[in-house]
Amino acid sequence: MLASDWLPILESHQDELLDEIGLYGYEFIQGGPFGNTLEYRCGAQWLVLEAVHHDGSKKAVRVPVHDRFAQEDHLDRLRYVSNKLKEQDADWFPFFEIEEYDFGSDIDLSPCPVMVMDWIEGETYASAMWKNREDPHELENLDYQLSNLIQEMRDGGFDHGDVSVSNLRVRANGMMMLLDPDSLVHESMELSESLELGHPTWNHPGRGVEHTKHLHIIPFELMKWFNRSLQNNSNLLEQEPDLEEFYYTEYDLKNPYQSQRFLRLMSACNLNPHAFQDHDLIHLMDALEDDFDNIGQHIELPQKKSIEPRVTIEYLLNVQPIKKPHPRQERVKKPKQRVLKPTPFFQEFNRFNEE
Amino acid sequence: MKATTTNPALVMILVDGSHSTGASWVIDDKTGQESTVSRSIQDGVNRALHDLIINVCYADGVILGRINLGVVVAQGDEVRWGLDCEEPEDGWLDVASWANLAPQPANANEIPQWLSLQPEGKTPLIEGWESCFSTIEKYRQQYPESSVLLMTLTDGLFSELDLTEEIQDDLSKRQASCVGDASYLHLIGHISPDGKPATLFPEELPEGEYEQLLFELSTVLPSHLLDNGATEFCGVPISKRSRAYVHNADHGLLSELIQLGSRVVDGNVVVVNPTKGETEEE
Repeated sequence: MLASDWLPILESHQDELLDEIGLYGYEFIQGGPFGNTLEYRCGAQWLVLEAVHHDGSKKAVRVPVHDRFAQEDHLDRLRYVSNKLKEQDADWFPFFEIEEYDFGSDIDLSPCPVMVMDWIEGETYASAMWKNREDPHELENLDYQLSNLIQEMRDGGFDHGDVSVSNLRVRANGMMMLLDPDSLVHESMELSESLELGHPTWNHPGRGVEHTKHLHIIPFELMKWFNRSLQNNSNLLEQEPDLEEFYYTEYDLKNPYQSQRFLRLMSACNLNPHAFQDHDLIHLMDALEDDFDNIGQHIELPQKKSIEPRVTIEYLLNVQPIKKPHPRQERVKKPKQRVLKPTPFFQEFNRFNEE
Repeated sequence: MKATTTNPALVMILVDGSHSTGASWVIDDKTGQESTVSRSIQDGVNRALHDLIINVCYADGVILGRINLGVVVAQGDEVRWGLDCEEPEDGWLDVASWANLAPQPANANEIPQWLSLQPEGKTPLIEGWESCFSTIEKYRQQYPESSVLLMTLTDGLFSELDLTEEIQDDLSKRQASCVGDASYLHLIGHISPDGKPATLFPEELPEGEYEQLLFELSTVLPSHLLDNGATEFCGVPISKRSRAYVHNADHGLLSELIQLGSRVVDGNVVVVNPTKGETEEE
């Protein structure tokens, strides 16, 4: 089902649906291209509606566009990932839960899974790069935020199969968040195959469903080297790009050494296209030319930092003997802040730590 | 067939506006409700244009220029521009120019009416195709990497056309030369009062001179429809050899065929019977 099929159905079920999934006092925002439908964001797997409470808080309500993503095995996988994120108190991915709703004869799925997710305000990484294309300092900060996010994801044992400029949101405070739970996997899941291949202009052309590990490596490197090249040459983005084809095309990723776009990146990085050079951008291009299974021969695969598991309230209540029980209170999440801009001292300190 | 602002897709619609499309047919088997063929085509096209905006062009609160549009009506003695504006020099409009051409619907969820048909006269369909092929040729020069969709909707009484073999050959060659190596789909919906049984997404050359011409002009169904595991479309078996051509389909299938036009442009096709474990790109 596409957005055009879903919108009238959702409009007619609005009140019952929101109550059924526990969003009391919420309503969907009106909008759409002609202002006479619900406001929405369109994806290949889920249609995202914007629900707002009268107190101003917002939730993303997602209904499946493609039946495959509404099947029970995938929903189990989403629930597992959701619990893992909750266990780790992850702040790089929005919290989400799977609910159900019966649309009756209006759609074939009965009951239909409905995903309720924290609404993430902010612009896409694509939009942030376009707006700041002539500000190397801001681009550097965005690059730093992305690196931090990816490191946090890796440290938590997660991998993501569709890291792209549209699935990354930059919040007003500069922090970045990743979206699209369908592509999120945890190392403990031990999957035998992936459900999707990610966006074709941000992924290795040789990646298949049999590949289940190191899925974020190539997209991350592609974004990293685009950003760093843009810092040196703002003309890489001459007109506002489309999210569907932000810079690279499928042809570029299949033929990096014949690609004019990679040539422009090399030039921005002061690399000579006719000479052998030991540079990470060249390693990325070599990895794209080689099989997906061999990317570790070109790009250093990440080493996961061991993190101490955080103590949860459930653990404290159920495992530890508690002498004086206190009434259980709703946990107030303390906002964490990443460093927005690395100072030279912290850069040196981090380098020292890595060594 | 991904449409982007860098490589916007061209959607070209050639509509038969002849007098004979004013004939009535049953549009609801259960209630017996009738409408004219012309009205069915008009509603189908308007719905398809609406879907293009909703499903392909609208993102993050703005309408993106991913679809350029040309609509021509073959009617009487001429091929005329089909939208409510002056005919553009290039033969197509960008989305910012065509999206707002329809009057604002009075009711929420009502579909805007870009195309309005008043059946009259004959069907200069060959001139219609020649006009479309010229536009496609110009488009390919300006957007060599873009994909192109041509949709022909007709009740064509081909006996009124001077369809010599030479003309048919010329049409096929002209189409091939203007399209080149573009990602191209030609959907043909043909509703004729000839009483012949329906021919739906045929794999082999059908019988009948005119059916064979339309079969030759139509392209195969888009591969990504089948790559996703579909083996049928609205109950009709399809394969990688199936042509995007239906002859004497019922109202429901004709509507679906027109809708299909709006769904193949961004490669986002509804899969009828996906098999477990198959993949789709976001």
